[in-house]
Amino acid sequence: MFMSDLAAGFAAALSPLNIFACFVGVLLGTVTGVLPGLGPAAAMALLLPLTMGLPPTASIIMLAGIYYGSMYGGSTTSILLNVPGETASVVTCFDGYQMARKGRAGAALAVVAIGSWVAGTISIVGVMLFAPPLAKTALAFGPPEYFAIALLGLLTLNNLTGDSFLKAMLMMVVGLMLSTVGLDFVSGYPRFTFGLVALSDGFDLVPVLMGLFGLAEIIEIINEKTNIGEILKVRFRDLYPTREELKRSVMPILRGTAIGFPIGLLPGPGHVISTLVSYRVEKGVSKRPEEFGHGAIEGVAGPESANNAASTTALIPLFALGIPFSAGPAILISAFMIHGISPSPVLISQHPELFWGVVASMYIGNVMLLALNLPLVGVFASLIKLPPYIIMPVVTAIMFIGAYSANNSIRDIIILLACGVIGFIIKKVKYSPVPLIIGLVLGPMFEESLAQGLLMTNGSFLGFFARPLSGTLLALSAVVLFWGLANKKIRRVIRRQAA
Amino acid sequence: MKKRIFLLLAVCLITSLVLAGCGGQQQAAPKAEEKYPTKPVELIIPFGAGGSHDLHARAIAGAIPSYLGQPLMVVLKPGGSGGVGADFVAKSKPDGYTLLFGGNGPNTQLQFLMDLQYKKSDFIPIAKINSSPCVIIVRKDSKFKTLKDLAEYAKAHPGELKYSTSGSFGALHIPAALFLSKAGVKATHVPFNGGGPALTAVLGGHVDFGSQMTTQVLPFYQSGEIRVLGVTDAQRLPAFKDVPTLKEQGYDVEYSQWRAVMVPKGTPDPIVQHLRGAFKKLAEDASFKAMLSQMGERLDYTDGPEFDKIWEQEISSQAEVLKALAAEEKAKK
Repeated sequence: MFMSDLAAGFAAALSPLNIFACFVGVLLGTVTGVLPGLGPAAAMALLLPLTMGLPPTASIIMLAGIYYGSMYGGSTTSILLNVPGETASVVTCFDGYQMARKGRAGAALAVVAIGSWVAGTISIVGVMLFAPPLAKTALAFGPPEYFAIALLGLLTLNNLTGDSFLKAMLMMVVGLMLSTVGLDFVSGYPRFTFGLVALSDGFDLVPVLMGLFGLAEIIEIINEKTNIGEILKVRFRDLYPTREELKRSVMPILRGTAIGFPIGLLPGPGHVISTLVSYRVEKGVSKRPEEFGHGAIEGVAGPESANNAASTTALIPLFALGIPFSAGPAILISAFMIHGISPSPVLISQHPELFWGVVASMYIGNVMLLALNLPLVGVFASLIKLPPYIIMPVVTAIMFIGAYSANNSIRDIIILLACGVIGFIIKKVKYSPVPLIIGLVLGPMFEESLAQGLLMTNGSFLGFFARPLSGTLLALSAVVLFWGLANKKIRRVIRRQAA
Repeated sequence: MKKRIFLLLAVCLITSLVLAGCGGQQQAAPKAEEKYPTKPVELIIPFGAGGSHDLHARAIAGAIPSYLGQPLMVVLKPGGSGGVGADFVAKSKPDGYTLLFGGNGPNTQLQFLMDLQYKKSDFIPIAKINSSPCVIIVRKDSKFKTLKDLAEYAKAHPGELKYSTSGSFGALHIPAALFLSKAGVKATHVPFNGGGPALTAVLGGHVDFGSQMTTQVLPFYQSGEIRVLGVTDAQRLPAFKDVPTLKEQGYDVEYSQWRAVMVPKGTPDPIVQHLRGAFKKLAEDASFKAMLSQMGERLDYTDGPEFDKIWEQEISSQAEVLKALAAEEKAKK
């Protein structure tokens, strides 16, 4: 029955105006994704006035194109320069950048493009088929459930980089502490703001990530005078993945899609969490876990696919419920309202041509992105052939601009500089900034859900266990915690017996 | 070696000069003889992208240049529940090129919650564009059919009811708190990050009732997903014909989230008059009204001096409730 709707959607999406809007959208999306600091929400807001003159379907298609297009571009600077193009691409920095240092930048970029296309296409099918029931499921998740998920995340994701457990925990606690800076969620009481209004919103993730990864890397290179841009003779064959690399990427891409799909339904930092979980899973199932962190292609393919899948499903609450769960869909709502369409649970049935037109154009957009990005892989990969004394200042300048453009505020540049220095120090003492990021990302969700949940149960923690969903998730967290401890004990016993 | 040190020092000096230049305010003195405005005027929005202030600002920027004489640039400066943007404008040069698109949050309510570096007297109101009232909602299968049901249940079962809003001391928290204080009952406030998640909490049954903006809930009301128990306006809204106002039901609460343009104090009077004139003409512009109604909003223009009185009155009438709320929240810590 819905196939006829889809056919009608394709008919609408293939009109010249809509194809043009789609192309402009994904092109702009890729560009904003590549530029560090300028995220999809900011780009969509900037271009919103432009779309006012277009008919509703075309303008939604264009804005949606910017949204998922930027997910493609975000990984480019992560791989080439260790600078996350946008928050979800930080995981791609771990192995993508190492691959670039080994001369496999082209392969990494290509695998990202392919994986994102596969994930996007499969997720759209899922959106088509399951939008309303998935949305209803999303409603069933309340604060206690989000708390349980955050707790589970903190327990399982704490050691992505394989360092000592204690070191990772320490960094994660620092990240959690940093996430408390700002106005207290319930009482509005300022914490650690030192009286500065500028700090009352806490630390924006973008300048922190750029500083800890990008700027820290640049400072390290200056310090050690390493020659990363060694002019290797890059042959055309080297620009694209080998058969071996492609084969290794297939399962991670599929797993990443499966992971990103449900996690995208979470409000807030859903797509960042999906990349972290995917990395963890890939490391767990890999036969060569020691490669992770030094250029394992699974660590690039999985997370980027998860990212794309999560961004696609993040649109489900918007279309099926009329409620945006994060900044990108929120701008889409504004676009709806400007055109006089009120997003609501009956949007799909009231405006089928809009929904199916957008769904169809997402297929087209994903193909366009693949066609756009694959040839560009060669261009981008050869960019790092440039000598470091050209690349570094340009990258630093772009990071400064990106940090400022997030909120039109000097504060973000200062945070960028501070995090650059901190990131450099962290690396020097052989700690990893990754658990800090996890603490910073999951901290707000952890604390807010805890506060909301306790308000809901009138201060009783047992109330969290009384609800079926959160109870199950909390039990899972307990299992993970004890498993971690028990595992060590069992291993020690086995070792003792073997000795 | 010496050359390198020299270069490094030069770079540091230049960087610090550039940063100093970026961070400070403009140093040029305003020339009173020049006809204002001679360059584009900035409208500072103290909220994030895509919100109702942002949308209204875009509509204004689209229609006002012909009345103002120059383009209007919309600049987003979010943060601190509106405090960052308001603070920025309060400290800006009063030359008429930096306007604030303010709201109750940063301009009325925030001062009771935290120590601010600006106050009402730091601004000169130019015009109020419009305002949006709030509604109290419940799920469609909730056992509460009227506000009275809600109040009676709360009296009989103190501490049991929970409600969701867009955030502590946000524009939705205050009307709910006002209703509860007029009804003489207490309910637990569960804050969320914005109107969207707060609405989800009501739909998902995680809280008993919620406070929302009219525009956001209109489609849900029309599709029957939620029941609207009351609206906080002076009279019934056309889109919610069957919903009685809070006043009608015996609770003397009238609350709207207003959006108004203001300039820093000390702005010369001719500039203030020019701006007031421009916005008055904007209020009569048909295309502007059409843009607003397409967004589901209405125009509710009040001129500067009139609005100044309303604003002053709002601060004094809400002071009690807001101070009590702030004390209550601080006591919890």
